[in-house]
Amino acid sequence: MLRDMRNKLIVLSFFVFSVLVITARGEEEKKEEYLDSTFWGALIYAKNEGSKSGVGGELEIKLKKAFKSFKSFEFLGQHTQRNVFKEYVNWVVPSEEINLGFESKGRIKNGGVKLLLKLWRKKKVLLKSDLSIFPDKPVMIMGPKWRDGKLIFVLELRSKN
Amino acid sequence: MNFSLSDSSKAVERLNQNEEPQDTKACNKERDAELVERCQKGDYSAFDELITLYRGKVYAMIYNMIRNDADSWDLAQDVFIKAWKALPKFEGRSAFFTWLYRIAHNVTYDWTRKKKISSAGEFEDRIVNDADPGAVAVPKVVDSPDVSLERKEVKNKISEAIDVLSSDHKEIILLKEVDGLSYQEIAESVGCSTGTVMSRLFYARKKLKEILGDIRND
Amino acid sequence: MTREEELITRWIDDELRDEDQIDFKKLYDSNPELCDSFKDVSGISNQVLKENYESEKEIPYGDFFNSQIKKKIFEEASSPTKHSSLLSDMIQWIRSPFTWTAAVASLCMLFFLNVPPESGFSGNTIVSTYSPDTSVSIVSAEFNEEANATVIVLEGLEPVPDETDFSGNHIVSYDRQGPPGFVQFYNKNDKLVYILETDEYGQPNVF
Repeated sequence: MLRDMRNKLIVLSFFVFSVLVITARGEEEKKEEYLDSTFWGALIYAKNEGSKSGVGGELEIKLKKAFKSFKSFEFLGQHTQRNVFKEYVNWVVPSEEINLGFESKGRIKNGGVKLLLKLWRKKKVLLKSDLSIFPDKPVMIMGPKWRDGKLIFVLELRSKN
Repeated sequence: MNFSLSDSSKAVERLNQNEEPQDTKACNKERDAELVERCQKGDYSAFDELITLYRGKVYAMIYNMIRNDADSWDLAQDVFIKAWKALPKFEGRSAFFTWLYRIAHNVTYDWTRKKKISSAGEFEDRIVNDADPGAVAVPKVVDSPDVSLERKEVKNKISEAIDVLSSDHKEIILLKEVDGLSYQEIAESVGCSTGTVMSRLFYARKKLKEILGDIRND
Repeated sequence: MTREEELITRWIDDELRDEDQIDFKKLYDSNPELCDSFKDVSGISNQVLKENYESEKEIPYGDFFNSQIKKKIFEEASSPTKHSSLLSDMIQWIRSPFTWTAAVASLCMLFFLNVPPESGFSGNTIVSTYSPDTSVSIVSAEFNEEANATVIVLEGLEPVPDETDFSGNHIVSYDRQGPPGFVQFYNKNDKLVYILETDEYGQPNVF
């Protein structure tokens, strides 16, 4: 009977060990993937007058298609964030008035990342959003009015290279 | 409001608003330790005594943060209910009262978050900018603090400024100036380091100094 | 905070340690006005606070307050039987050999099938969106095919004051070299513009 129990224990331990190894390998891969994630964030000033835009390129085309009432877009700040880790709050172009925070919730297929976004006005949360972001498919959030236009946050997922 | 004071209520000492002398603190600590030990053995009457001893302080602490009688009353009850449940785990490493304050702090913060009461940030710069020299009638010569205090407008400005402090800063300055807790006691109550306690105190006082300076210069 | 700021704060609050005394004396001798000005303000704010706030407040209906607490505690304590019977059921269930067999079989299935938990892009990027602020409305939150972007439009937001100067602090880079939870943001002249601290509630504190 003791021998029987011992054998059962050995088999069970083997399966548990296998699961642990697979899980550990999976975690390692995921860790590497997080290290490869790069986010680019910007705060943009959108106006419905003026022809000269400071943004340019593909981003300006996307902005014009997303927000048709605005004619010109200007960068108020932009920066790249490397090494975006899971469950860690990151911030896009902070200021004393308005802040966009985002947390990565894990990788998904097609190179996407699940995000939890929070838009803050000082200490108040204005928006909470669970969404997915993919390379070349930015997230754009139209925020409050400022001067003659509106503030727009843009968040893009880019490859590290 | 009418109150009927029972014998147990009459036994409550009303502490003055200055810091307790060290010997009183030590006596209280001994008394609390004895009551806590009895509670941990299941003696509810000992806990009832602790409630009577500390309900005034807990109620005041919560009221100072949320400025609402009814909600403060409810939250104070929650604090003691949570304290009873957590008492078996209380090891006496900190004073009972700082431990109880910690529970009150957490209960107040949870409630505040749910109610979505937001602070307007560290300070409203409007308060500084709106200091109307005519209304305040600040003297040209810099007065001593005692003379300035007589000017209601100055006190109102300071009072307004304190009210718009972020809840983190306000809580710490209240625990220091009103409750007379030490840095270590404040740190244990709110769950931060003594360094954070000092930096928040310094920052709040610096802002008040700027406001007072602006009013005096106008 | 700087050493100077720490010394002034400790001195105001009568918390100077033995090792701080000499340093504070030097500081005071070099700049007594600075130290005294902080102490003055602290004195004023202390008086104002004590006039407007109480360290202890008579609780309304004290005896009723105590009795309500007792009632709630004993009410909660009087329904433990449900919990303990559930627990013993669970323990019995866990010890059953059938449970172990089923668990091992599930593990094997997971190992061989390796079902991926997430699906890829399907044109729908937003899982949920909401605003805790009742004055704010979400006009739209969806994937915009034309712009090839997820677009969220909000209304009812309080405008940012016109005098807010974003251009002077045009952020171009950041680092996390400081203490945990702190991020430093720099402008194009490599000047430190903001330090942002995420507090324990996830709120941003911008310095």
